Amino acid sequence: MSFVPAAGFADPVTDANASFRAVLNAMAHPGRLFSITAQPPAPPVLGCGLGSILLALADRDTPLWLSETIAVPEVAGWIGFHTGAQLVGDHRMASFVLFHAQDRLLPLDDFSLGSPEYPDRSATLLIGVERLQEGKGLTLSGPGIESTNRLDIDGIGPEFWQARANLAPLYPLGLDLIFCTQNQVAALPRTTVVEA
Amino acid sequence: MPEGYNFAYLDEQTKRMIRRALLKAVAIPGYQVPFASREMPLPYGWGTGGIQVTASVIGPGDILKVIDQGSDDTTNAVSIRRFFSKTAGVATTERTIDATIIQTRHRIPEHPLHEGQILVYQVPIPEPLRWMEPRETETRKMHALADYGVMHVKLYEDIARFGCIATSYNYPVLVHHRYVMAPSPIPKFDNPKMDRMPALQLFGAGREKRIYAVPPYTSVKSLDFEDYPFEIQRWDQPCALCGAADTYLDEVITDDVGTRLYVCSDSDACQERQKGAA
Amino acid sequence: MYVAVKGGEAAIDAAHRLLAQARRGDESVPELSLEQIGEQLGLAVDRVMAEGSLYDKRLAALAIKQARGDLVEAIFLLRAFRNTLPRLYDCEPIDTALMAVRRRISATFKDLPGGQVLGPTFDYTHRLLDFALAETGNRQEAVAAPAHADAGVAMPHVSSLLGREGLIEPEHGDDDQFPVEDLTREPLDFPASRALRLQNLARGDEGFLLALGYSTQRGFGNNHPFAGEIRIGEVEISIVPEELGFAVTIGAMTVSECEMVNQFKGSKDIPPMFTRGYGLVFGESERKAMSMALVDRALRAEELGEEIAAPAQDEEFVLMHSDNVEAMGFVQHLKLPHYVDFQGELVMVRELRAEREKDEARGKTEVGHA
Repeated sequence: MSFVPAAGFADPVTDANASFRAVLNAMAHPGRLFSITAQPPAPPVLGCGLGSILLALADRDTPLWLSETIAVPEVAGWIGFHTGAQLVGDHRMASFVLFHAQDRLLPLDDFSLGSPEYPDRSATLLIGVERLQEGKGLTLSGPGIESTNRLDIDGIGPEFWQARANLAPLYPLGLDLIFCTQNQVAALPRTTVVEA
Repeated sequence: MPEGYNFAYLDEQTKRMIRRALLKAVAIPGYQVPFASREMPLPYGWGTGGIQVTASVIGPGDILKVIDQGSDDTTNAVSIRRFFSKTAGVATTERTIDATIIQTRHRIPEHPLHEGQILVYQVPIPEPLRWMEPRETETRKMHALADYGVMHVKLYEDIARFGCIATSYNYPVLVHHRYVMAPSPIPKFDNPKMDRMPALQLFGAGREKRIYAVPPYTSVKSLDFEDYPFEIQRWDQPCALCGAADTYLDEVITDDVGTRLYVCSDSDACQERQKGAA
Repeated sequence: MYVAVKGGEAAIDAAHRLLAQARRGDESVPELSLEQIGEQLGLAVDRVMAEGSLYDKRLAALAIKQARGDLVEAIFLLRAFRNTLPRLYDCEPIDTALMAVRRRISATFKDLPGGQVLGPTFDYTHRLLDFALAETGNRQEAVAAPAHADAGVAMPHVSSLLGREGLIEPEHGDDDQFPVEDLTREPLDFPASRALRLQNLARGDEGFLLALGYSTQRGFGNNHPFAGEIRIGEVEISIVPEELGFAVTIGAMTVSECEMVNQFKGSKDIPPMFTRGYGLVFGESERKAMSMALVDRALRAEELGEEIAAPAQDEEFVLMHSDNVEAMGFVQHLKLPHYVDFQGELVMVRELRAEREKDEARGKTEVGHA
């Protein structure tokens, strides 16, 4: 059975820029929320937020790994058609890893963390969540944060934060996290210190 | 926009590659991310790294300021500003506070930058250890091990020889307590402005194919020794035009017997102050 | 009252007008056409295509015209244009054994299958200025194309003849196993594969490679070369479109190829045999192909267990400095304003001198008191 993929960005140049700027802002200000204004009609399983970021950043040079719930033919078809990115079965090879908060979690140190010479050759995790809220929840500090920021991320449990904290001693190796809802994005680069 | 070229000149695939490098650069403050720098229609050395970064970041709503040596009217600043007006059709300004993106060669504006602004530096040699070790294979290892012994030896030798650290520009800094970074050849006068700056600082080296970044509110410390603390340049006279005594000054020779006076290097800050005084 | 210097915009506009005027020169002299440049300055066009990494004679001719004959500037123009072109296909590897040869010489065998073909070479011209050429209207006698008995038939490479006896190292064809990296799409990383090194040399500056190749002959990394074979001619370019699944020829291009045969004494594990240095360049560019082959062989020092002692054997030194667009930019950027940094240095040198004078004065007083 074949799908006719849904459309991508309405204006590929301006929309990709807007989506990238939201992610750049989020990465530069960990824990702060930024709007994803460019909303491509991505398959609902993927969501417009993740879809928008993927269209802005993924292409033939970025192997993607999708969690089981996301890796349905409709999503794979849409991503393949609009980005040309290669879907990989081995999550260790992926430069972008996509999953939803409720998906079964793989061990974080199993993803590519980069090498001491090239810590940038590490995975970026794109995580779909129901709700993000500033001003409560986790307490964040580190580069990009004036003193502390607070962020509540729906559906991410303490075992995830423990697993992430276990990576901290490996710095500059590490993983960078991008959380998004349908229309908002927040990021936690590897440098952000998270306290529950 | 010239026919046949994309918004801001670069094709979308190149922009995506640079955008991914920028995100990793922000995530690892001070670390130099290799990127597949493209040949630009301006020569290497004229700011191709900064131009590629700006072209990948800039959107139709941005307001761009370009300075070279602190001034908006330097020929290369004029040329780069025109490049973006032509290829991206964006608004430009000479006022530091109005700009959303400021591309610079060799200076940080005097007026403090605010949150939400992006400062893009043009970088000739991104590797702070290059003068001590010409090989990339070696310097990469040093960064991996945070082995900055050669840098400390160099600074110490300066003190032994001259009684001070004899570096007046491109003075090395330590970013987020981990990476030694070249601040591009800004005068050391500007180094303190980098520390915990509210704006996002992005660095592009086109010929050397490296991108790096300092996120807002990030520790940037100029290397020094306890008994030889870091100091900035001072002049014993103020700007001849606006009277400022706390800015970086250019020396201007006014006749053939060497009479000289000093004027602000930051032309916008100088004009604003002159207007305020009038 | 001092007034800050202004007028950058107006100065740039005036400079551009002056440049256009200088490019055209005296308007009573007929303007050059791209056809004239392509036909009569063909080797300049070839160099610009090779180092500009774009095989397009007309655009290279345009670049030369626009650059007032400054070939490095023309190379830069072509590179900046190339950069904006979409990648449609990767072509199949060209097969130089099937080349329609215009020139083919070997310095290692007096005669060999396919023969020696001198072709249009400067080699045996006496370098006497030909004043007849100063006049236009010269007509050349037509030269009949040499009749090749075996035209269209593969002309084997000298190296393959040596290979039959096992006297030369086999060429490792590893292209099928993994995709060949692309120097223009990924940043260079060390150690670089031979494929990447050859890409770098193929677009590298001819003068730089010539000097490096020459240095290996003078003992800075001697690699005992023989020009096994040089051939220049046309090769077919083909692609395999996905929808067809078989190769289709889309055109032809001129290339110059040089295979150096180098002495190698052998090692504990490898019997004595000859090794190779390889050069391949767009267009007719024999000097560059030969230089490239010398440098390629020198850069294989590590792989062959030789001591790395000379600049031409130093991968990072060669690959990081071969590109003339990069080099010209960084050397020439020194003419851009550096007022700010220079001011920093002025302040520092004055301070250091003041300190020194103070010290000296103090020294004198102390001596005076003693």
